Amino acid sequence: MTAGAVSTKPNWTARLRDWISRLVPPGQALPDRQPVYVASWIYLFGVLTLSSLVVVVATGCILAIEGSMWWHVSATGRFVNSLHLWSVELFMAFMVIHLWGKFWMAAWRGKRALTWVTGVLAFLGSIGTAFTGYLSQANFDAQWISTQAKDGLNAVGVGAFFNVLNPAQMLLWHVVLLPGALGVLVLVHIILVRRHGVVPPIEAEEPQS
Amino acid sequence: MFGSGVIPADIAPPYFDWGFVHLSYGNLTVIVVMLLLFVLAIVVPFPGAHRGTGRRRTP
Repeated sequence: MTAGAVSTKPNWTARLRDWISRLVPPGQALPDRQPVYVASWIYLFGVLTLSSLVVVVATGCILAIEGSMWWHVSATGRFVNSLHLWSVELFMAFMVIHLWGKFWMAAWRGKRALTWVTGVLAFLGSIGTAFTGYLSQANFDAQWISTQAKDGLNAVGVGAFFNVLNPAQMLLWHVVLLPGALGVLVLVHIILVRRHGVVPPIEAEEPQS
Repeated sequence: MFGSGVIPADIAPPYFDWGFVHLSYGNLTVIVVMLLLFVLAIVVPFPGAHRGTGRRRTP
């Protein structure tokens, strides 16, 4: 992801520091100014998606600490469980509206293909994470969904290592593997957005500086 | 074990049917709200926005 001259620093720590410092242009990691075309409601849905994801992860951590009996039985547990569900609903809705907006402004223009691809992968990863979340509810709904899904997933050949009838495996996919992958994808996506800047509308002129 | 707020899950929700389209009214409502938000995000002017080219805003 880096561009430019090869570092001549003597050790890997210094080289890594240089690489991190060149990931985004100076001042663009947390910019306080944007092109005028960014003053539109449609440009808000990326950060709304990210904000929802923060609530999803925070409430998920609380559910992981307390456990399934707590989120089924206690009033506070059911409240946090509901916060987790509705933040996921908002996360998916905001992400899809963000996707519609970026699709119709052809957001892969201007060397932003990798930004688009990481967004697509994050979308697919989110679907898998949400699906394993429904399988991890520890109730009859989870059992129903798993039995409805097993034949299709076994038919495409993933049943050997992704068994929807194994609740412990689905829980670990939901709280470890998929969130980890999704976190990396979201981080790379954001770095690429900051590196190349937000895509301009099709008729707008992109700033040179 | 279960409180009074538990909703029975063995009752099918009402469905919207139109040709091959088969959607629960809950899902249909979410989709309509998302489409509405998308249209509003494009047509409603952003507070303080002014038309121009791609120049950066300066304070």
